[in-house]
Amino acid sequence: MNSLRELQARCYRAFLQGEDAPLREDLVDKTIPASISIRVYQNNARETYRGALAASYPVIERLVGDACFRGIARKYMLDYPSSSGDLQNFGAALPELLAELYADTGFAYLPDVAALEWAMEEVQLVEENKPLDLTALAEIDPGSYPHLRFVRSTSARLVSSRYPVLSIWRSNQPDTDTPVNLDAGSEHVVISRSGSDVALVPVAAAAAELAALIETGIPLGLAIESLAETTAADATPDIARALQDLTSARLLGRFELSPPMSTH
Amino acid sequence: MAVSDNLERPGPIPAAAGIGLRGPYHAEFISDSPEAAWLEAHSENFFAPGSIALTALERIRENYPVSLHGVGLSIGSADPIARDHLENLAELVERVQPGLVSEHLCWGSVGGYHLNDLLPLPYTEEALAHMVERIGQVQDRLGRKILIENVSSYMEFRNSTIPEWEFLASVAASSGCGILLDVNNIFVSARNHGFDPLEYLDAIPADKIEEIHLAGHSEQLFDDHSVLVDTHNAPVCAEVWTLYETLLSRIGPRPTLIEWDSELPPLTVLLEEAGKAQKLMDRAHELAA
Amino acid sequence: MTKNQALVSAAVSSLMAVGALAVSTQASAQDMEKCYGVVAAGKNDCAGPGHTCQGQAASDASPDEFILLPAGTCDRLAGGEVKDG
Repeated sequence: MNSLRELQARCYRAFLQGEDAPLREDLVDKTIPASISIRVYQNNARETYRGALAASYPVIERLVGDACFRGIARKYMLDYPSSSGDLQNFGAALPELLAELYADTGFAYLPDVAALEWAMEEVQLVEENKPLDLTALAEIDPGSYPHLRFVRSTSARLVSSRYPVLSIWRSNQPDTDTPVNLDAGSEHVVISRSGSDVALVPVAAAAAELAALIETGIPLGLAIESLAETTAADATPDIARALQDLTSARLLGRFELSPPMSTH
Repeated sequence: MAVSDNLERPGPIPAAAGIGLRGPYHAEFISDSPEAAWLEAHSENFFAPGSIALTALERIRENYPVSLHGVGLSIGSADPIARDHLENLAELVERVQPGLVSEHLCWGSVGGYHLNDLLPLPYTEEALAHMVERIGQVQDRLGRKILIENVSSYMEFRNSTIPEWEFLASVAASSGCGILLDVNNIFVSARNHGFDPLEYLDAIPADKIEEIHLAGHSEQLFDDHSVLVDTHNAPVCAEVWTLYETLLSRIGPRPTLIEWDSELPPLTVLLEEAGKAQKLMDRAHELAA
Repeated sequence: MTKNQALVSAAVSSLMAVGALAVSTQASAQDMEKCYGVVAAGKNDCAGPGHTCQGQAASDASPDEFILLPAGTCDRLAGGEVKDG
């Protein structure tokens, strides 16, 4: 077993990390020279991971172009090596890598676009949540509303960006080529599974803010207090509209009614 | 999970030509139910319970015999078998009740890191014993026989002491697994390593061969060296059809899959390829009768 | 009832008052319409020697070079100067 393990380790170092020399000794140098054998498998590895990333991130691939996407995929393969024989979840850290590469550049929107694409990947892999049960909600005593805790649907995600992330995504679909102004400002998108598709629904900034608070697990009363604090004194935050947005976008999956949370 | 409603599903994989079920074809199989004897799906694409893909597969399964073909279990690795991977596979097998379950004669991970490739083993007594033991683990967990498929390869190890065909036959004899013989892979490896593909075909016992794969490959130049690469992006080539005919004349019809994974053509092209395989099987059947 | 309690109460009540149908109608009147994405299934088709994807990089002029300068449709995005805050 030791000899098999060691041989496999030499293959890994040669195919993924480019350390060819030790493995060359192990290979038959006949019809295909050992150095060529190694190149074929190195090429396979690069193409496998590029292909897996491209399947999840077609918009990023289009935005950065083929050569750059290959470079990014190479770096991803080395920095976030695969740890599963199932490639379905490969690529989760691409937003992180793009942030590392482009945060301080004119391409700083790339991580957010990638986050949107990965959210699409995630929600298609889980069962679709039922919409929020408004009938059950109607049975709650209004006096308890501040203690309501909404819970995000397991088949929905929110991506908030200071860039027009949904417009960028839409303008980079096949057969689309509309210009986007990066200075158009923030966009917030709810991504949710919808049958055999994934739905993308834009929501207003106030809704995104409320969603972020709900995500922390605090009850509605506290969330709204917090929202009211950040709203100018002379304005009333449109909480009703925000809650409606999140409900119709199907970000909210269910609610719990619990006594005020103890803080620990 | 309701296993009881499996009773209505189409049964075992017939000795006929089937095609690979890939994502872009799901909708067509659900809405139009095109005629195909059976379908084969890559197991790992359906591991996530409740996913869009699995929901589609379960609907398709209502109308077609389905086999599950794994690409990532990495049976030949020195690493322990990935528990979660095997559990996911077992759960999927339970849910889909496939006619056949297959994996590869290969390895793909070391120290918990994966290459996500189907890499050849050194053909040694050590590797043979290891494969047999590991196939046993998988068959025990799944509670059924699996098939093991020969892979295309682009390297050979100096410490190999057994020809691949003898190794594969021994793995099957000792582990009780069946063999999924990929004729294209034999052709590709034969060209790459300079052996006679007929010698390979002849060495595999007929009663062990429970499925056949056919696919297209491509020739690539690395410096000045021509290498055949198993790209699954083209029609089956003439030489592979000839090998397939030779094999059929010896063993008779078997479930035969047309694999096409990249640069996918319209479904009709795949069904035509399957039609060719079906004709050859029908002829082999007549000759044997 | 404090101002915040009133806000909470009004918000939750409005959900029931408009009802699910009305809520979704209202949403479609938002600035941008809901859209749907095609989901690429089957990343494991990429696994394995040549199972897919492979091939092109054999002709890579410089396979060891990392090209990290974006040069796709991002060229067509206007604006995007790094902003303060």
